Amino acid sequence: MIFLNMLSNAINADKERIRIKAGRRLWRRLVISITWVTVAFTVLAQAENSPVTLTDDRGKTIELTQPATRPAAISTFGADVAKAFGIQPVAITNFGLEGAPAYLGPDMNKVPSLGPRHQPNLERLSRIAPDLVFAIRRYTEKDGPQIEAIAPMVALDLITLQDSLHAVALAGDAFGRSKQAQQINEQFLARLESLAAQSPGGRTVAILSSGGETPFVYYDHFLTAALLERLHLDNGGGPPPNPDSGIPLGYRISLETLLTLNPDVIFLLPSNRRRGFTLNPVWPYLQAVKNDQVFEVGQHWKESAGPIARSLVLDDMTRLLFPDTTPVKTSLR
Amino acid sequence: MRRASTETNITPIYSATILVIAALFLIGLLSGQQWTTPETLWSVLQGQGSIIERVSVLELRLPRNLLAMLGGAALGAAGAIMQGVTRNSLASPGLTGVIAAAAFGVVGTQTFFTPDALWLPVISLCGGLLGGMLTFVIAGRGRLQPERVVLAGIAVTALCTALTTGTLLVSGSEAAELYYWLAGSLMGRGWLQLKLVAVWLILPLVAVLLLRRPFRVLQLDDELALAMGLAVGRWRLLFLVLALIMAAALVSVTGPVIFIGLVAPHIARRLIRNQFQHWLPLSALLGGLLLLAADTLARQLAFPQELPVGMLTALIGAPWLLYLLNSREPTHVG
Amino acid sequence: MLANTRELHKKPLLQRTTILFWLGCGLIFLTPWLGLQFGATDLSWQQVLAGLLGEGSSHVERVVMDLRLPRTLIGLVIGIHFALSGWLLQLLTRNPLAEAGILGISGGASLVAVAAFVVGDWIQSGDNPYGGIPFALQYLPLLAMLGGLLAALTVYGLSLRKGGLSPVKLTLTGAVLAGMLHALTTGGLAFWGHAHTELVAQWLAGSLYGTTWAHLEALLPWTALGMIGVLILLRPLSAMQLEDEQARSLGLNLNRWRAIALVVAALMAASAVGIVGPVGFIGLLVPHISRRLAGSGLLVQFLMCTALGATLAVVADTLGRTIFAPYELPVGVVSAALGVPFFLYLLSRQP
Repeated sequence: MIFLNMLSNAINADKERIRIKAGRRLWRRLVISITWVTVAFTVLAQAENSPVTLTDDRGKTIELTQPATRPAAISTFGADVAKAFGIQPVAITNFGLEGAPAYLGPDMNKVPSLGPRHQPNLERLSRIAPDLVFAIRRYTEKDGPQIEAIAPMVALDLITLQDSLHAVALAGDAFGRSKQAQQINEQFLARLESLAAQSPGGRTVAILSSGGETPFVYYDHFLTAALLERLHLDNGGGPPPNPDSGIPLGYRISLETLLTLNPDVIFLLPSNRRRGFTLNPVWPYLQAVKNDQVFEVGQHWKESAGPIARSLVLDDMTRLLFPDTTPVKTSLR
Repeated sequence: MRRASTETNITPIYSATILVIAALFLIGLLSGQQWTTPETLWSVLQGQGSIIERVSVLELRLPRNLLAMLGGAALGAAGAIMQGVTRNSLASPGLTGVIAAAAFGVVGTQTFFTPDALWLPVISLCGGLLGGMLTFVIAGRGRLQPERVVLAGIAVTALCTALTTGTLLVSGSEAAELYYWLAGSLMGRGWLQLKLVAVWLILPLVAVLLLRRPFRVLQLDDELALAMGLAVGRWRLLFLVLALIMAAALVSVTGPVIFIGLVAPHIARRLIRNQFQHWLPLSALLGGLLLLAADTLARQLAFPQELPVGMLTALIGAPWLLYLLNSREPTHVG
Repeated sequence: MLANTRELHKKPLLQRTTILFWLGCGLIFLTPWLGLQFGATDLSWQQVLAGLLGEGSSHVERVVMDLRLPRTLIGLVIGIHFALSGWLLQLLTRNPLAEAGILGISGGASLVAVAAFVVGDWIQSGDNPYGGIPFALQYLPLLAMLGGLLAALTVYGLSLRKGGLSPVKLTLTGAVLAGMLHALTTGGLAFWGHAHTELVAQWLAGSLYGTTWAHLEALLPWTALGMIGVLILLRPLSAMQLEDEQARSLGLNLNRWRAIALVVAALMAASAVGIVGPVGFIGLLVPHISRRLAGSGLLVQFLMCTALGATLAVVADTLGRTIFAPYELPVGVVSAALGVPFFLYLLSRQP
């Protein structure tokens, strides 16, 4: 009975994904996800500290003798998801321009830093000796073997919504809490759906890397842009040219195009160049600017794959885009 | 100097250059993400047309073209000044460390601090001035031997580039934006950008054009110039400072754009033959032409995206320079 | 320092050579210890020793044998590469400010490196967006080396004049080419490489981060080749220091030997750049210091270059990964920071 429930849940979750975009990649995800859901169930049905088998986004299989308790994070996702399961990460890389991510709470300041995510300090990692490393794939492809010599590493894409759901489920397996991971994913999707049901839609949005003269805009598949699309908002970045591939994440939009696009809402990601939009010639002509619909959002909009981050993103969206709806309490979903 | 029959008539050269500039300017006004028809252009200039058309032409393309023209002219003039004053045909803002130092100033400030965007031109100016001064100090005071200037400039450029690259490694998520800026671009530069640097470009340019006679005298031998009553050291310093200001100011707005300051004076020298009094103005005009052409190409070659203009000036300028290095008659350098 | 070198030069040649020999040996033995002892994590010397002997804890083993030892050895080797390459180029162009980066060799290697990542992205299969990276990384050293060689050959070809290779022309052509390659590299990275900006940026900074035994194995054959080449070149090089006519009158085929010297210098620099990326300033500074210490004897200069180059690279790398831990400053940046004041001092003393 439980098995049937889980299978039907899995099937529902997968239908969800298929409906959004077609593509070979998604079919592969479907197969992989059903496979590990089944595996996860099999694992759960046995003793608690049994070996764990994980398949990361490279398609590589990682075997752990027991669920991970001391995870390291290269890119904030690892710390985010660990915290969501109540586990303190043992090492973390920098978060954008800051050190430890503030949104994960003051405990993070005690976690040793590994430096930037594209050049994690291997000596420190070795001293800390985690039992699992959550790594962002596109920055650790080069140094993967060196990291794997220290600890098992799962490399995750962390670009799209599917990536995030899959990564959370994978983390659940890694921590031996697959059921909890599934709940987290389901609750998030449910919240997304209910928000979408309340959303009237019909507005265009754009996520820009800076307000300056050469803004970088994100494609539809980027997680935060994808969430906006789910809320019936039209992301100005447009569909990615290469749907099977997650990169590039976006492109440099010319100001003429931005003006033609004239999004109703603009989200600005943080930058060291304060008030960069003061240099932008078309800024005064954008309706988003005239209607006060330009919002500066935090770094968690850029690295949003973790459960806490993506929940905060939904909080932001609720607060900024639908100020009339009942405020949802900002707890972990 | 012989007269009339061997003197090249300089007027056709000026006219041709101005015509080409005008044509490029027009193309620049008409081209962009959407091709604007001449009729639309005319109506826009009269104050009509849709908001998109008006903003595209008047707020984006017009100031951008003006900036390209003015900036290119400043670079060309700066290059001519450096080459004339140091009597070294390979002196230029790019090869004397000015551009690299200005760029490092901007990158460094944006990595370690959070400057208000409007301060960047000043920061760039300071950086460029420091870099240029460092080059000339290393090269030795007074005489400013031509080879030493270039060699010192190369070393300063290498240093600044190394520091910039190192800084980018710790820039974190800011790195992608900085790299794009470092490639040199006129994308999105409007009236504000033009106003920010116009003073630093126009005033030195006008000053240098007015001071043509001391400039001409400086290009002669030092003893000869001294004999003619010119305070060589002081004038040299003044001209170099003016050149540095022009180059460093432009970097602040467009990012590093090299080779224009080097190539434009060379082409000008070929065109004017003997009439050196036209060298500086023609260098300025040609510099404007080159940057305008490079920017127009940058907009169209990778449509709908824009190539960084620094790539194009390097692609156009370098082969030309290498050809010049090879085919030149022996001069003071090489 | 100047007083010391003057005193040094006053001593008879044999005595000076002996002093320098022991100095060089000292450096060669001391420097690896530096690289092994210091780093982002603190280790006692007992732990380092235990790690070397295979008796330490797993952390110590990893740090010493997997991270610091290969990195230090590669640092020694690339230091030698860049120093010798700069030394040869300075002799060849008679320009005290010449080195591989300035002549466009590093620029050629960098441009090819960026192109490798871009092409890797293009040819990868649609399903796997990262398929391009292993391709790029596998071929990166070889391709970058070829790029550097190509740049050197271009500079050489363009600098040829009727009489032969003009040193000044070589420098200037190199500078122009280097500038162009740098602009193209930055533009290419900005326009096409945004998915891999930080990866390529790390390589472009000339860094020993993540270097392993495999990198060392790839590099050593070129080291051997280069050293042999330099030894063969020693005598022709001394002749090359004379005026062109004098050298020819000694029966020296100037053009051929200049070409060989250029090839050896380019090979050494390009192979090092191919493995760790462009590292400037070692090739600029070390030959200067060697000349100061060693005087005019080319063999002694060569030995000092080797020792000092190795030392400078390892010292710079060790400083870079210790001072701002967990961040790492690349070798090139630290050597630039160390070298610039010294370099300015040297230049100001040029006649």
